[in-house]
Amino acid sequence: MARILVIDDDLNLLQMVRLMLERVGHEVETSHKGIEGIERATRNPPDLAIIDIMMPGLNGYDVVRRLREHPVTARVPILILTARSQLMDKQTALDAGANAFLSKPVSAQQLIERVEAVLQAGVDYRVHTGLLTEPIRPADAAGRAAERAHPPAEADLIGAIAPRKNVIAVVSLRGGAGGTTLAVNLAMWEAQRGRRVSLIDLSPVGGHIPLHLHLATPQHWGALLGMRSAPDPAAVLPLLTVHPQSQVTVLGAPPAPTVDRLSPPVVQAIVRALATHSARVVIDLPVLDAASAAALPLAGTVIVVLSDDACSVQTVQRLLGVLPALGVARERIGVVLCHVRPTAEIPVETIRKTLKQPLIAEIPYQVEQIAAIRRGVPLVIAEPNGAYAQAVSHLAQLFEQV
Amino acid sequence: MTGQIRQPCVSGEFLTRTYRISGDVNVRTEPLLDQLNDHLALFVHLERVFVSPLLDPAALTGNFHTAEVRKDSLGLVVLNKLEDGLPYRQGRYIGRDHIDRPVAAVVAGFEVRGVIRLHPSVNVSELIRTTPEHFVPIFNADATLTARREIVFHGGAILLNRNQLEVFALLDE
Repeated sequence: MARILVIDDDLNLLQMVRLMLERVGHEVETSHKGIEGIERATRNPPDLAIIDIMMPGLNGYDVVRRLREHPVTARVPILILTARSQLMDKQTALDAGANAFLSKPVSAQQLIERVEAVLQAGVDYRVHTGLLTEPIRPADAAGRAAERAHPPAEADLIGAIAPRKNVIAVVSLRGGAGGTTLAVNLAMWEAQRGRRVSLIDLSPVGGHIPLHLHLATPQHWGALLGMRSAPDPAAVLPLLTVHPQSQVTVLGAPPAPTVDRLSPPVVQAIVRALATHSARVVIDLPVLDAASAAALPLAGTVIVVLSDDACSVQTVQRLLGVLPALGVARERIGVVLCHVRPTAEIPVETIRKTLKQPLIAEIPYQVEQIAAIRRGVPLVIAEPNGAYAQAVSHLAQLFEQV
Repeated sequence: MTGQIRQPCVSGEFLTRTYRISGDVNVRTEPLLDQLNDHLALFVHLERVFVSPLLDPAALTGNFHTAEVRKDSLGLVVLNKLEDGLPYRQGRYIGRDHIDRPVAAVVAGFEVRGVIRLHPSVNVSELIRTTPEHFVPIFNADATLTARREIVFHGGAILLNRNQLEVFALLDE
């Protein structure tokens, strides 16, 4: 049982939330004014505060900031519950110091699940949709305070998150769907045309790009772990390894799986630096974490890869629902179906109907695929006239028209 | 504790060319879409109103207990849930045989993409040109502010004001 303080000017909602939480055994205090809620919290700090954003007088963002600044309430986990539920509202609330964000109207089950998740995770974690938790580094809090004192120029912010046309993110959340293979082959196809290409491996579980290219990456982005603010571009370029046969520059992942993640400003600085340095940047994104989510808004094109099995289709269907909330406009998303075995498990037409989205390309299965990985020579180089290479070529040409 | 228990409401983002107005509309007697399409009323009545400049949409710069918003100044209305954007006669937009058709629109400085859900027999272009209703719902839609493309509103339903519509296109033709 936890003691929970709810601050909201809507009396209906206060009553409803009180009933929902008391039913599962929590002790609930309510307050319908921000300033009054802060006084209650500082007098007797609750285990969790649930705060509305839209309140007259002191709004929810100000309440969160004041609670975080007061030594008595600085470590109270905070859940924002608001009808203002756009992405910019969520980001502002998290930046102010909230741990989780929930949109009104809310069901009892949603509220209770999120409350339990926040109580369990504690003040040092953010709890996202799907109850995914993400650690908040101590440096983040200091960084937030510094940013409030010295806010970056508006023009810098706009430029910092605008999508770059030459950046392609290849997202494949199901292992074995062919995402990394596609990313490597796309990069090779571009390099064959004499372009300067960078390939970023954002896998936190020991990336596979070196395996595809038989390339050792002694330097990798692991050197940037722990940094909170954006590094100088000059610090990124020495981390690249050149693939001798193609001249593609690879930013490798740490060789062993890591629980640490690059902070969003660092990821965005890497992408920006390489987008300036190269004619084409291809990012391999095999997971969806805070680092990947920071890279996605910068990609001019986001390729979502799936294979023809039920799990992959389900994962992609759900991912397509999440991407707009991560700042990826629908017109920038392209779904690519990779056949990774000789026979299809699900017909293409069924996949199209399930996703309710057209496929921009279908990459055929080619029996030499496995041998290509074993030899470290991607198919667009080893078998340039093969079906796989031809399909990659058609796909790559789509982006040239963008 | 002071205050009143309020009637059933729908929360929405009422977007003009310069402001983001967040507020609740009492829908006890009439769904929001029908209120917006009521030709006899020039204004819509909002409760718990919070105002932000469109170029800084997360900043709360003003709030009012209630406010009247002139309907023809609205470019679009963003609603979280698809059902909140349906009229009393839902059959026009919801039905077993209805199909989703992807559409794009430019309205009041926003680029909107989503789907319009209608019976296949309905000629969408004809409907947009000739319907007497001012507001048309687009479902599962994104509205991107053309001047600042990082500002995106997402809604289960976005109601477009036809009077401010600049371009409307079906994407599957």
